[in-house]
Amino acid sequence: MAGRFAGILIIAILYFLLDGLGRAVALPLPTAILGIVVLAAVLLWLGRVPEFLGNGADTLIRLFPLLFIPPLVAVSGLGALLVSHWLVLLIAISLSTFAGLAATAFIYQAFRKGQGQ
Amino acid sequence: MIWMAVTALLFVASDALYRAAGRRAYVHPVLLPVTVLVAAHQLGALDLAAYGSATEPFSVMLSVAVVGLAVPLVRNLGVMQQNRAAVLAAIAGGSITGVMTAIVPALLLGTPEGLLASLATKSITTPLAITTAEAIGGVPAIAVGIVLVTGFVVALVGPAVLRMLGVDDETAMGLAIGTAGHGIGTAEAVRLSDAMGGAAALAMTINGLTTALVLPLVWPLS
Repeated sequence: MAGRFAGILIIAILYFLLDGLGRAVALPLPTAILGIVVLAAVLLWLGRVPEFLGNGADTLIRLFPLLFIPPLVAVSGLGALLVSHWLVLLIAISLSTFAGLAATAFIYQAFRKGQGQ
Repeated sequence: MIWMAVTALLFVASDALYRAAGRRAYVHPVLLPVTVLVAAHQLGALDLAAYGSATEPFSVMLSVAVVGLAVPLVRNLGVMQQNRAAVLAAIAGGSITGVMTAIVPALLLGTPEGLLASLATKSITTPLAITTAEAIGGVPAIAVGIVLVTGFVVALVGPAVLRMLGVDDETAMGLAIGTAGHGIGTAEAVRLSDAMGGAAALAMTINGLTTALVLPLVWPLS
């Protein structure tokens, strides 16, 4: 349990350090994305994922859906736009998204088959 | 504080219901709280601006949680490194397909340019979508709305759609979910399996970064 919190704390400290650094040098990159790259690089350098960090990350990831609720609720503020461009939005959000999903999965599987696996 | 507690309570209750119902999309732990809160807004019981500022700490926690995605990514990097060409081709193909199939019908339907540019960033993570949409003349608030709903649709029905299409490889599913559904999709992939989550985190990062770099260079497409 304590390890889990230590893991969360270390990830949070890394985030805030990078956020401060990003602001100081006016980096045009979201801190969260920079954070994934830096943390992944550190873990690869270590050659393993320390247990407390793994548990901390797993806990954070389990909270993900909760954290997406407020921004999704805010989308309802776009009401008028949704009504006036419903067809374009429906195509983009459903058909186009399914096309993107299918293309990614099929291309990966086709490449794997091509490699004889 | 009260709105954070209400949101968390709704989430915990919905999550319990979701598990009890055998993980059916229609009782997804995000769908139910969002429906209840939007209904409360429509009935005049919830002020969107006040709710937004009351739940601001969640937005910081979300950014911290995104950093945590490095863990499933590294845990599963070995499998993906063996298939580097397949992984990169899949992410590139899926990303281009997603953008073009949204833009072309929108162009044909005479969509205004601001909305068009906001559609182009629909599959990249919210903070990147904001900066990229701004760079190509989109409207950040609209871009964010489209990004979130797209991710939500991927999380809700993406795994089922892929299985219906005969995709059963966990890496293929994860790459597709991360490429099309960024963080929200990736969160769902991690809940389904670590391998799927790792692939999704990698796809989300690569697709987000390359789209954010390439889109401003090639826009406008005509």
